[in-house]
Amino acid sequence: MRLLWRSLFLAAAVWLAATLAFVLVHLAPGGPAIALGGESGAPGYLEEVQKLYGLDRPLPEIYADWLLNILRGNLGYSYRSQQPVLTLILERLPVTLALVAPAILFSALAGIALGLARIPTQDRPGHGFVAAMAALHALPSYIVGQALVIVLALGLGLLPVQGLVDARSAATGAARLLDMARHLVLPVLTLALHHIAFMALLTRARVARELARPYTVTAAAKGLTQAGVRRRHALPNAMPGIATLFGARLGGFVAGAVVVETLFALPGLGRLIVTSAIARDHPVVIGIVLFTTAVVVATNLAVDMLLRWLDPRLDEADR
Amino acid sequence: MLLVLVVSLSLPLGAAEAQDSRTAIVAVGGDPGHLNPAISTAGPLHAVADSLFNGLVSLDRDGTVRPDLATGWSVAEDGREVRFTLTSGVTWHDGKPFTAQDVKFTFEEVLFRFHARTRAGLAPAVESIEAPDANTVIFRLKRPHPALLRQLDVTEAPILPRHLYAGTDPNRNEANARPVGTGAFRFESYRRDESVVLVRNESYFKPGLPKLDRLIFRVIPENATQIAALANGEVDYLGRVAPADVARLKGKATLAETTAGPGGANCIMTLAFNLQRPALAALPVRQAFAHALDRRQMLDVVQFGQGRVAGAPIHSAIGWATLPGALQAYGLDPAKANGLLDQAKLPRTNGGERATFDLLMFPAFARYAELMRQQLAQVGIVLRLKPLDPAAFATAVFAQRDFDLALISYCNGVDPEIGVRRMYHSSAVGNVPFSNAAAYRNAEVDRLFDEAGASIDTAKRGEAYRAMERIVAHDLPYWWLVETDFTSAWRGAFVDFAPWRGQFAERAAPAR
Repeated sequence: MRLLWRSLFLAAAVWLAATLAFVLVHLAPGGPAIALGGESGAPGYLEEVQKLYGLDRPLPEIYADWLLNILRGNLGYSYRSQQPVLTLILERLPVTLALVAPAILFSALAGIALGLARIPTQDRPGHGFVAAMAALHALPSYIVGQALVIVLALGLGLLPVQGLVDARSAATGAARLLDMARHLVLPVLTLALHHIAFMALLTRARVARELARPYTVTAAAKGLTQAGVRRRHALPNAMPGIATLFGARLGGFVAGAVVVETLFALPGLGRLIVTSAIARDHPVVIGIVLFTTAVVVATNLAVDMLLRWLDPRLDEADR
Repeated sequence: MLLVLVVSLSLPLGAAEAQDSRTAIVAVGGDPGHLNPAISTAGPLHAVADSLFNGLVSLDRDGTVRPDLATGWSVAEDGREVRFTLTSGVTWHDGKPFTAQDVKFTFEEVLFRFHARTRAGLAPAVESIEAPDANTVIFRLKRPHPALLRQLDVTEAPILPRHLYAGTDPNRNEANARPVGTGAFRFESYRRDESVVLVRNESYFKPGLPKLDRLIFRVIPENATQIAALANGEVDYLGRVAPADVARLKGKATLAETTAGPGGANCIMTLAFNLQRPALAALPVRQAFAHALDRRQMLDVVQFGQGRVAGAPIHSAIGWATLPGALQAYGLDPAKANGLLDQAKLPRTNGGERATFDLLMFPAFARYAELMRQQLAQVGIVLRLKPLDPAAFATAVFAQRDFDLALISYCNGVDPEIGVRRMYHSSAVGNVPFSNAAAYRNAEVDRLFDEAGASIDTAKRGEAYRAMERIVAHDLPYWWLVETDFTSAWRGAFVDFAPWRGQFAERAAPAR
């Protein structure tokens, strides 16, 4: 029952986010007509385009239409491409997933490994590490990406700087997959580094807190090595907290994809929302907001349920 | 671990990655959206689609009119009839023959309705278009229209296949996504926000052309990434290189300095005064701006010297119409600017400030705006910079007129009828993007434009335009800053790109 209430609450949150997006894009100065017409020099042209796309109607009427369509499972049509918004989203989703999924995995694994390796001790407080991670976390992805391009692509000549595949290559099968992987190295690194820093600091702090608890002393007294205590006792106990906070950052990965996809010219959802916003392609912008909010909210719900299943104490804590 | 991953993924792919010298990869800054250049004037669309289509004529680097779909033309003595003879044996990419009916249909049903510049610039002058036989098109004009031929290249008037568009809504026709043209390249595939692939048109009507097998357009929005991709060998051609990047590319790619974009852009970075704002309606205030702004510094710092300080309201490339030295009365003179502002009753307050104005501009022009802000601060004028994207900018400036100053790159084209008239003529005040931003109205200026636009005597037209320039140089509805040059760059593996025309790769070839 509680799950039903939570789901309803989250559905309401998604609707609210999409409605907010609807209002904001329609309030933004400049409408689709100008963007569609390009540099228009024709009197009356803008008004014609407004009429053609039904943009001359009152906003509540447009909203009611939109809402009815959403309830029917129709996200609308793009003004620019005349394609269904859902088709556009589904076309782009694999690219964004190919960027975001490895970045999530990589930042989780590398961040935890890095955090575990730099647990503060009396001999080694690790202020330098904290400062370095904090700086990395604060650096904008755009700057990090440029630096990686300069060093790994232009300096060492190791990697491509844009696109998903080599435009000249006719490779298929495994060779094409390898080509795509090469093209994704820099974007994934760019997106991941910011979150690696966060995960490293989080893991470090949470595991250190566990290490100060009596049960770890007991474990050590039983003959476990320091590394063993961290890995087998402190880390598993710290994980629910780490996973919850990491889960809350999933939206950050999606938001980061906007910058990274633009910088590395990847045709994903992030690029689609940017180009659609500039073109005032309202149905696409609202559709992506609706879609990504729903995915992020659902993922968070799934993570939360998984954690509760793994650690029933969380449920008890709620009671 | 990371290093191992990076190095292993950077290993070459072997035969699959073999370089193809007859494929050129072109970077474009934005997705074209669709591939019908007759219904929009958007830059990224034309950068791609113009290679698929032809106009009746094409334009040389200096704006000279050359045959394209029309082999020749004759103008009646009274200037009111222009008869085109079409190239015979031209076929559309789907094999259907190209005829005069395609031309008539494209103008009447598509260009005059949807192509903003052609609708505004050409449609009012045309009385009718006739196609008496398959190879002849006759334009009957309401009045002589001297700019006609220069408005018929592929960027201004691409010709569409009637058999695919007749009876449909051109905005929603499926052919917009799978275009069929007569151009040097045929459409192969389009992946939105990623790439458009064109292949050689084996049946192209110009013998021996094109010389390339494939033309791949990659959508790369970031300037920095475009430059890195060119340096890394991932793309071969950049249509526009930012001035700051030109020095960085030298030695790494063939650089072509060009003074005109497709169709002869001839752009002047211009400061528009909103004459409906009382403070800016005062001539001494506008004159003070002219004396306070250091345009040489703008050219050096923002354009890295690529271009010229504007010398007249009409671009110097349109030599027969420009008035050299028209602006020489306004030398850099902050003391004089201060005097003029005092005279205009804008005294300095205790903080030293006289007035505050909002300057609207595209984010890409922020460096100009920042420099302007610093220069005007010297004479007590405070600028509030408001960067806006194109749709918001056009609405604020042209529809709502909610601005004090606007920074606009006005492109004059190859004839003042194309890109100058719309800046000054009183009929061009209104909700029309990139028209008369100043809301300038002067009956004599209107008359001179009308006179020049209705004559086919170039000398007489030149006189009228110069008379107009004398007036606007005095009235200063705008302050003309810098004539900006565009630079294109391409890798040394290719020769003969033509950045100044729509079909820029028609003659391009691998370097030997």
